[in-house]
Amino acid sequence: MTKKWNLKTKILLGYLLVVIILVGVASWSIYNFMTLNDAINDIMVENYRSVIAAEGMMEALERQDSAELIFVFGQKEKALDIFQRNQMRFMKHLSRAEDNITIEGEKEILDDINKKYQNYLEKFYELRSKYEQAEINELQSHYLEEIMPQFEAVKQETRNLLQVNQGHMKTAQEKANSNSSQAIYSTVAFSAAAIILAILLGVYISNLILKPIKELTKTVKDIAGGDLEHVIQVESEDEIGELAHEFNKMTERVKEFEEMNVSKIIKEKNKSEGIVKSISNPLVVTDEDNQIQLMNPKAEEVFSLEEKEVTGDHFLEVIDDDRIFDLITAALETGEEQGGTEQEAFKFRDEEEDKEFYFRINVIPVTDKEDNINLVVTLLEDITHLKEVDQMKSEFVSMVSHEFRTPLTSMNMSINMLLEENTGSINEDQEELLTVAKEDCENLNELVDDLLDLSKIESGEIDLDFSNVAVDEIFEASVKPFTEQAEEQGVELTKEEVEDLEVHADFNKITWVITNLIGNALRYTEAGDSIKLSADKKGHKVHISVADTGAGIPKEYQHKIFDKFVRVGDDQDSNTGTGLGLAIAQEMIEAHGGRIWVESKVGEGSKFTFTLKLPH
Amino acid sequence: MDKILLVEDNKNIAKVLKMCLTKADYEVKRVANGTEAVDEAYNWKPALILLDIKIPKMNGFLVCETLKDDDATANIPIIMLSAKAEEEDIQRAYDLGATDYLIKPIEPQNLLKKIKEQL
Repeated sequence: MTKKWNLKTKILLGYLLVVIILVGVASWSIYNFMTLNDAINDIMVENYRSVIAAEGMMEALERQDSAELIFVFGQKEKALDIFQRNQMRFMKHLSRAEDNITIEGEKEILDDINKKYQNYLEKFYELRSKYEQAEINELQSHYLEEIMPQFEAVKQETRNLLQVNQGHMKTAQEKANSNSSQAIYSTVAFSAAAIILAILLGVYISNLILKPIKELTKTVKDIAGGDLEHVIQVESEDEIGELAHEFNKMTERVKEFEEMNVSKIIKEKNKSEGIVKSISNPLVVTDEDNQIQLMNPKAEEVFSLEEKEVTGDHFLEVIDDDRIFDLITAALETGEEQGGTEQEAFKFRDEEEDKEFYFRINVIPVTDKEDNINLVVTLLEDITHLKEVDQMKSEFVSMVSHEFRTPLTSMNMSINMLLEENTGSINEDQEELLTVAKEDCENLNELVDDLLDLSKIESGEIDLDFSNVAVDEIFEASVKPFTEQAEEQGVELTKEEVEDLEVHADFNKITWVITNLIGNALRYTEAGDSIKLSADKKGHKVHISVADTGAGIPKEYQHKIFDKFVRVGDDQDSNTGTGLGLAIAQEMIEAHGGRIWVESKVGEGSKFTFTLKLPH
Repeated sequence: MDKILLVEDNKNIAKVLKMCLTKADYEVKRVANGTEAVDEAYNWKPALILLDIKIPKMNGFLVCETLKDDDATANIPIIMLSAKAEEEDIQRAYDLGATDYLIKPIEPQNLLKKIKEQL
């Protein structure tokens, strides 16, 4: 029934009930006061007047008796006066008492008093009539014998009246007492009952209001905790019921939304997992703590692992490869994609197929919404085929180069013999033509040498003879072959003081690289320019630079000058180098685990810098 | 006239070298493979052998080793000719007893100078 009442009505109803109880208690108390008042009234009105009347009657009677005595002793006039005054007082009190008959038997007593008093008065009249003739003795004996008994009788009766009234008064007082204590008890009981009732009512009403709120709160908590299956069971139809209803509706919507999202996420998850699984290259996903999160079947095969068993394990625990781990660490630190070079390829030997596979390591950091890296994808790109093609290319280049050598040898020797005039004298024109042929023969030879070097490095055949070498020694050896040429050209060739700085490198190969860079620099500088060698320790690395104040390299060439056969600008036709020098230099530096780059501005010069490792 | 055995499989190089040496007044016999080279070293008894490494049948190293192992031919100076400039090849040649090692392309003047040192 209360269901249809709203919260306001419920609260008002509760107050109303308490007010009713209050009114009840107040009414009960008033009723008790009134009862008590009645009892007091009884005493005051009914008995007290009768008692006063009776006492008045007694007094008047006594005075009349005294007047009679005075009368007997001769004071006739005075006695009569007193007697009559007191007779009137007696009658007045009697009539008052008669007006106030309240108790049972009071009327009979009064009638008796009245009758006996009349008798008493008659006896007194007899005494008065005898007064003139009779002796004092006779008067005395009349008083004693006739009047006294009547006086006593009236007095007795009046006393009776007094007693009856006093008795009744006492009863009334007791009744009032009992009424008042009863009133106290009943008021206390009634109040207690009212208090209990009010408390119970309060509890009931607050429950009525709070229970659904509690229910609501609990469910809201559950829902906030993610349990969207929960439906709030609030049956009341008040504001809370309405709130609950709206809340259920909202939860339903949220649930629908979430289910939609969940199915979307699952779809996306399946999609990405499908993509990951279908990638034919090994792929491992790690989190920011380097714990393995995902691994595709190819990765399981290559690392001989089971995805299920290693998920959550630290990368190094299950895949013991420092190179990959270093790249992952670098990706986590820099937030940039890390890629290993082909030289640093990860090698995997398939025993079943008896074949070696090469993988280029690619490490891609994945960031979340706040740009924090939370995942790192390590993709091993299968470059076995590339390696094979590369190998074939190197072998081919090597073979072709060697095959070039033989005819070049005979050509060179033939030209030389002709020029040396072993076969007879030649004229000037013939000598010039033969010189052209000889120079190009030498250029071709140089090219073949470079191609052979490059193919060797690229196929990984090159052996680096690592040792701790002083940078100054390298500089010394690199500058020496050029001092004369630089002087002739008017170019200032200097090297920076590097004290006892050392690097971990192959002395000959690094000298070759610097020599090549100085050779290039000399090619693009003129008299008045300078070439400077310098070295700087930066962290775990040493940066070695060859800087010139020459022509500089246009921006569009800067990124490709390390490619093979690239010459800058109109240099294309001039007879300078093979176009392989920087390519070889780059290969050599990378074989050392370093990096080479160029900074240049046209008209200001170029600065080639490469990095080497410090001694361990 | 000193006799020089030229072991070279390439016809053109052989031709040029032979002309160069003949012009310098040497008697030259040219063979194109390893076994012939060993045979001629025994039979023709040259004063010096110019030995190309990359030759058919027996390679230059093997020829050198065979000749140096035999007392009859051990004293003939051998100058190796090769297109390969690898340190290890050069070292191997000297280890086998070769007198000199020339890298192609060969300067005629340089070759003649080296031969003169030995004869």
